[in-house]
Amino acid sequence: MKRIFNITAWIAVAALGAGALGSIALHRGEPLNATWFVVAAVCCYLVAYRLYSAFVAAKILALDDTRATPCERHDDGRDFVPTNKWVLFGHHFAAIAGPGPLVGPTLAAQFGYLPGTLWLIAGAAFAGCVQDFVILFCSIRRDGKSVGQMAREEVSERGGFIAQLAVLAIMTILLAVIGLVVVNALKSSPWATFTLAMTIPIALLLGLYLRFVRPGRVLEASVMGVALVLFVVVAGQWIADSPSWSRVFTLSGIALAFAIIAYGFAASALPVWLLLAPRDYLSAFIKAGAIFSLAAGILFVRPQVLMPPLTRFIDGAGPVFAGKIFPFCFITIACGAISGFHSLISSGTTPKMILRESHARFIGYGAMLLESFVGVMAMVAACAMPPGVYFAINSPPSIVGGAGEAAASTISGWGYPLQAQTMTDLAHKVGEITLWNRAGGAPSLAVGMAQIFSSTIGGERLLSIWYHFAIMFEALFILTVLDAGTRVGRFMVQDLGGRVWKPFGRTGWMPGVLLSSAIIVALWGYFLYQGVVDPLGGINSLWPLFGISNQLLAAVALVVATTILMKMGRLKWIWVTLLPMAWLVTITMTASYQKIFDANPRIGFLAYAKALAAQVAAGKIPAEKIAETQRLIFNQRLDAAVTAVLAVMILVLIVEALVHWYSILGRRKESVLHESPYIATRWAANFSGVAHGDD
Amino acid sequence: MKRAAMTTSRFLRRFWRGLRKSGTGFSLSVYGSCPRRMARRIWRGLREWCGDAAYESYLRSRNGQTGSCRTLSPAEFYVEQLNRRYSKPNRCC
Repeated sequence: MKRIFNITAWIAVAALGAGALGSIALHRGEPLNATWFVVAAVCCYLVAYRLYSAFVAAKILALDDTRATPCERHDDGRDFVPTNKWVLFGHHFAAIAGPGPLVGPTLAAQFGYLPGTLWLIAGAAFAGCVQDFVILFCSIRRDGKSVGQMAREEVSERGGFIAQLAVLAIMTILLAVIGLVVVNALKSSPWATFTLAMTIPIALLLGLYLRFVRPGRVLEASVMGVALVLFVVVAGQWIADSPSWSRVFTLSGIALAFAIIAYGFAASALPVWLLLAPRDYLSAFIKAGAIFSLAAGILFVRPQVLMPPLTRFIDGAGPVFAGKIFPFCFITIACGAISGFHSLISSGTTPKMILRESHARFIGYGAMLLESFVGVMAMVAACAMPPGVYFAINSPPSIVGGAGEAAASTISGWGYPLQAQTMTDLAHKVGEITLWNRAGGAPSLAVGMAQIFSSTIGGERLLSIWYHFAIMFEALFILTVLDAGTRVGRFMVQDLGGRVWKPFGRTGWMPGVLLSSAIIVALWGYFLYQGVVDPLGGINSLWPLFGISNQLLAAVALVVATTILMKMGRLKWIWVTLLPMAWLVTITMTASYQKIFDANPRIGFLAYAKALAAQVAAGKIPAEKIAETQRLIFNQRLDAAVTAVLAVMILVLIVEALVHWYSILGRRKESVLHESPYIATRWAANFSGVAHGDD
Repeated sequence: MKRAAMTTSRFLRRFWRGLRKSGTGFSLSVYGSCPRRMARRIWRGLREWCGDAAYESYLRSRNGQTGSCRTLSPAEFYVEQLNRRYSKPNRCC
């Protein structure tokens, strides 16, 4: 009886999800209610978790709860800490959920709501969650080894080296692109700039409190910090209203870029407890609060989605970034569907804290589903505003012809009616000088979030407060990724440099710390500067580069996972990781080829460099702009070279993996699995009571 | 589902026992124990999630070990833990 009830309930969930997905896909004409998106996503996630993840867990990985996990084998109270599965789920989710699932879907909304939403749901269920889950499992079985170490041991030395290079590449480009998102969010906005600037002294204050007054009392310090941050969000309005203070905090893109570069250097070189860690605490609380509020707001307000399912820009001529749906939709939305960076977290702290193997399904697969849901909410927030407004905010001036009437007429000409006065009124309501040409995704997402929040609490009166809360929330946790990433990059540079000259590798040696911090900051800072001065808006070139490098790392992780499954004798089931890997390699290689060689200057780096060079040769560039144009030409060629290096890395990795698999399958090479030996858990008999958190 | 059913039945059993013992009917302590336990669990989870309880976990783990290493003070442990945590990727894109 119970079984029949279960089956009926799951059939009902599946039918509801299919119906909601059908409504989203087939709906034309009238605006669609956002509830359909929530219902479709939640039902698909439930079915995927109940069926697909259970299949992967039982048939392929054969999770074994009698086996001691790394935290039991090495319990040291530091890295290896047995942790309750709900708490670890929270840890893991906080680590994987960054700005990517918010910004990516917002940018991809230029194709319409349909392609991005389908990719977010299907990509997560069949690729992203599987990657996170399988890598987490592999790392648990190897005492918490990283994906790079596993690549070296299970695939080849070269595979491990490529993984290391991929991490450095993704780190550099990621930091540059998220820096650019912050620049575009704060540009010419004294309110937002003041709010974000004030988070630095607040974090310093918290750092001192946690170090000297009440060591380690994170909760009470965070409560004080969050209260102060909320206060400065409100106080920002007074700054914006004061002519003299407003001038101090109104900064150009270039000034903001240098300020962010200086901040990154300081956060990397200063003691971690002073600035980086307290900011991370603040960010974690505000992030959790904002994401849950957004979900609740969407359910409460149930906004109409005004963007059409498909826009005219599926042809590749999009103003936000150029390129057709295939492959650009799939590299623009990386985090939220599948993200290689997650494999670093799944093979980082999480496997060292997991209590039993069976928790890997809930934490690895489940947390990624939740991240995908964040992506769907971002898509809803972006698509809930009129398309004309969306394109006005996200298009660079060189595409729409500046701001005001000219831009409004260009956008209306695309079929998305817009009046210049609408943008002026909206900017006034949210307390900004202008909302034209604010590419990067953050301002348009903030407008979408503010409209949802203000419909729930406060109405139009609080729109400006909500807008700046949303901007602060986005910028705060982007900067957290930026400073933590810069610090990790610094360690990588020191590690590499230490092989050449030993003292450089010592993490406590101040000259080494300063030099390595300067090197890593210079690396991403150069790309950030290049993005800020790019007439096409920067996002157009940097975001695809970020997507390619992120998916490269995902390909590395899936190669490792496929190799391990093969060695485990699960040949029949390797399609589970092999198909997502093949898909990723296809989209990454296609995108790389188009970004380098496409004849359209807005897509191909070399074509753009050639077009600029032709303009210089024809004397069309004024004398005072020639040096700047030469720099632009160099930047385009540099971007082409970076893309080519990433593509070559993928090819080398694939060839390496194919040779290795051929040897294993043909029994030319002994198939050695580098798992830790089986040790029976001592916690099995009395599981729920033992360990440091009951289950 | 099964766990929820077991918790509910345990709660009802204890509630019924309290009801019989008190004679007049209503035992607040029994009635209130379930939400209190849940609130305690949530509080403990929150402290573990944000790192508030990290030092307690460390001490617990030290108690189970026989090594001769000195036990760190809360301030030393806090700094050491942060240095370790932020030396590898721990925040994603």
